[in-house]
Amino acid sequence: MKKVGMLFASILLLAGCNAPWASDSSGETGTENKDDQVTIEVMMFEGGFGSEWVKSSADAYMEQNENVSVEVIASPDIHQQLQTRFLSNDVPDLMVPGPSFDIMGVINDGKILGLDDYLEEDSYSGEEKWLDTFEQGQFNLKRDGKTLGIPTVFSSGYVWWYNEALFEENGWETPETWQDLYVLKDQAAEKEIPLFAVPGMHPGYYFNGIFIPLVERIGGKQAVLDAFNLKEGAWTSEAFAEAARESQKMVEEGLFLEGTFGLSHTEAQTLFFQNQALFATAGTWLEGEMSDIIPEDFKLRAMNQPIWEGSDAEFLAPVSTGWGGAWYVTEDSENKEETVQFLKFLSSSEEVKKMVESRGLASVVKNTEDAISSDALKSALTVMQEAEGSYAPTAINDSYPEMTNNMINIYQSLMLNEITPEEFTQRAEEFAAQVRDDSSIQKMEFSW
Amino acid sequence: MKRKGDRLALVFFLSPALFLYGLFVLYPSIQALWMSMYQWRGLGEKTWIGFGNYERMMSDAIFINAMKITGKYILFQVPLVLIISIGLALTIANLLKSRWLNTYRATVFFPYILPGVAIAMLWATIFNPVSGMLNGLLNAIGLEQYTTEWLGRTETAFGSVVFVNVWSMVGFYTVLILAAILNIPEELTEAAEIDGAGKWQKSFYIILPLLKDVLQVVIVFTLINTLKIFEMPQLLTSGGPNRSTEPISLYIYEQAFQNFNFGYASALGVIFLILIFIASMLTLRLTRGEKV
Amino acid sequence: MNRATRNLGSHLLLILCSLLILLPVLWVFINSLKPSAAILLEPFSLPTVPALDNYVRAWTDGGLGIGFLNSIFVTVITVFFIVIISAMAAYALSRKRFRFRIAIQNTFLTGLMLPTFLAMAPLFLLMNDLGLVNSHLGLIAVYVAYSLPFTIFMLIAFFNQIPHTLEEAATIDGCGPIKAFWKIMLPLAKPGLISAAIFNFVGIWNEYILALILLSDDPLKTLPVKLANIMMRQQYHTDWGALYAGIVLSFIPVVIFYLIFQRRLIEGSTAGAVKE
Repeated sequence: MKKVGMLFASILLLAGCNAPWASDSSGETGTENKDDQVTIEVMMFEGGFGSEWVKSSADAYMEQNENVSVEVIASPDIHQQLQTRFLSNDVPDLMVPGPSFDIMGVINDGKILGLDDYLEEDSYSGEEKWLDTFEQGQFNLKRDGKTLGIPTVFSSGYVWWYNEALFEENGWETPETWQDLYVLKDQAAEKEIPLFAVPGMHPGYYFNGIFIPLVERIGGKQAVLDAFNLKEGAWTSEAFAEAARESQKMVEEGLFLEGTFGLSHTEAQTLFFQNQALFATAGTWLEGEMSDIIPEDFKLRAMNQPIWEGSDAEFLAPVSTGWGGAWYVTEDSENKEETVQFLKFLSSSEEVKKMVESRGLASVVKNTEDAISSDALKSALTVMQEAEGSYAPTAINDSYPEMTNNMINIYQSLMLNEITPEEFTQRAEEFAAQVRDDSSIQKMEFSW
Repeated sequence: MKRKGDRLALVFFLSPALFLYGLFVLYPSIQALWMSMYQWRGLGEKTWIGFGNYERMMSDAIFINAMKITGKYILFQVPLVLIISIGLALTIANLLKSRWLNTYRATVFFPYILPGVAIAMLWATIFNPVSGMLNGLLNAIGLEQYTTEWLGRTETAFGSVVFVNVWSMVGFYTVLILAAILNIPEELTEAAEIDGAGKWQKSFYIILPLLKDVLQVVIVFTLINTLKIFEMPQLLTSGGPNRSTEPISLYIYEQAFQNFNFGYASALGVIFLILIFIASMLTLRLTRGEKV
Repeated sequence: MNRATRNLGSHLLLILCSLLILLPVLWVFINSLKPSAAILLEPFSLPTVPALDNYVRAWTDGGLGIGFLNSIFVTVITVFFIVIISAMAAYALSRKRFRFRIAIQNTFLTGLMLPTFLAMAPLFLLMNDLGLVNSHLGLIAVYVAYSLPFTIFMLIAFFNQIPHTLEEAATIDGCGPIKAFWKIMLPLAKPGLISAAIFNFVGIWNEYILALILLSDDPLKTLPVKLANIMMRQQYHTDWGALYAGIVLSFIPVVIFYLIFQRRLIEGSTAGAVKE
């Protein structure tokens, strides 16, 4: 009896807090530090770009500034952690929310700090204005005229990747027009290689990498813009109808790897790197994400989507909008000055160069292009430079995630031949109308 | 004085359970009713919209689809679990007094104790169209034409998820029914054997009617557990392709924790709660009715 | 011999079922010992050198180690409180006659039918208001609350079987109701309590959805959530080795537990339903 009572008491005592090994790493430490000690909490999405570069920059920063300690929490499900933190008003100082976080929601609630005043200040090196250290073309994460996000990682949109070595070896040409795809298909059939390995478990890869580009190639920029701006009838326009028919035809003609509609994207990409398909669609994170398994003789190169014969659409290159991948300082941060100072350090060309070298990423920070050592990324940069301009196929996802998810789902049905192209465009138009008629959703005006 | 002491004791015995249960189970369920009248994204303003969320539901094709899918799960899973667990229990009971009874019982029960998340991951690897065991085996025995993207195609995804659910549940009910069979007094079954009843006749006419009580429990349990399924569709298919495996539980989660429509998610919960009550009452009525 | 042939069909059927249960587990175990590329490209090859580093990565990088400790912590405390609190309530409901007994019993009965996800959003917001989101204490409290109905009914069945005479004797000896409960009833109901504990242990150890909603901080997550995170990570890495190893690792504790408590677990699971 006594024993049970003791156990009961000690368990109660123990249950009063979290498990002892879990408590010290979760945020509020540093109470025993000196008075001027500041802790900057960083929460970041960890995807194909990894997080090691931020962690090593944080270490370097802490060495230079002994009164500051920087804690980096990185995880692929950071959006869930962030949502909880925002709801309980226990926000980190600095964050990269990743693609699944409702960033527009917290921006609309005034939870994100406007950075324009800081951008007018000196940069970390003190040589020029902070603002002038960025390439202006990519630097546009603004809402109501306020700059909210600082992108440091530049990514192309979903381009097509291929193995140049394989093409050279067989004397194949990369397709100039969409119709060339079918020529290439017959050539590659002799080697029993289909054209595309795509992840059916994540249909967004071909919605963004094949469908929206196809619409742009057929109907031009305006067709995409009208649809994204939710103009009535835009999703049933001829460009969308044609692109939907073509999508289904591509499947019927056997352009896709067998089994591909049941794969996750790392699986599909692995098969691509095993030369079991000619193309994979992805952004510039592809090389970093798959670095462990890329064969040495694999010459990974990017190409823009081919043009549509008989259309006079602009030849644009896809870019990623980057809301999810940018840095944000929170309005409720208790250490705004120190956090901005750290962000200046993080986005200085020295630190970004290190990141570009170690993870092979291009950047929007000026004077870092030369640091790109990877041929794959150089080819992606060439795609951007050779195009007549850019467009952002993924932009609707930032503003209307629920609608985009629905669109992607029915696109999957289209590819599996479960609905007709007409049904697809009609349903898509209905989803667009739902958002258009819902006054609680803040509308975004897209223009490229 | 004794009465007062008794009453105090009652409070002592019941209050911890009532407090926890009331605060964490009943209160949120009632709170859902109130929250379902608001439009609220968790952050920022709460807006009173009356029955707006319920009106939205009536025209929400995804909600209606999720209800249909939930119904489909019940339609397939409950009878499957019932038939398979009765069959297995009767078969194992046949081996009475052999040392195999325990071995089989332990094996059949085994999946029930595994974490649902791990079961989902296990089967996701087996259904994998490229590296999975299933397609590999089909290829090995010359049935290439049956290989497919099990979880990626609408024709097969639902069946695959149901299969995994049944795989993970059936052991528990088998053991439950088996225990009831072994409780049947031997005289009853022996008498039947003397009368020359065959093995299956015996099962059908003697044993099954005696199992009515336990079968009623099994039906209610499978029904409730089928309504509760969450991790299998979430981890195996994310409810896809095109929501063909998405039960209502997953849609509520999506609305609450992905789209952060807390008000709408609560309204979905309320409607579903009402349906569960109707289903449970009907089941109890039907199974009880038979007995009378 | 006659008997053996008679049972041949039964044996065949049951062996087939056993294979269906054990083969997938075996296949995953074998693959967990292979490097990632071999898992995808040669799924049926045998490992040449066991790639034990898969297990190390799942344990450390995948966070299964910390998830394991968290799960033990949460499960042990939860089960302790479930059993104590349910036993107290079940004792009162089984032994005492009082005005609201039926009403209270029915209130708990409703809980058997309430799936946890129904009130997902309000529960989360309640926990948030109480400051119990991202807290093991909060998760434990919710686990105990949701496990009460089933456990109470299971234990009522046990208490009903204990003869009243023992307790009456104790009362005559001058024991108050609380003392009688501790000294007489609890020891007598011990087999029932152990069955309840084992049964709940498995349920809490495997619980996923509440932990997913209520714990989002990495250092706090329990094993099932960590495991699901490993699966999520495969979207950005190519570490299938760690994924397979993670599945096997999550099996090991329950399998050991099962081997030790198999009989009690099976009996405990059936007790509530069959004995009534």
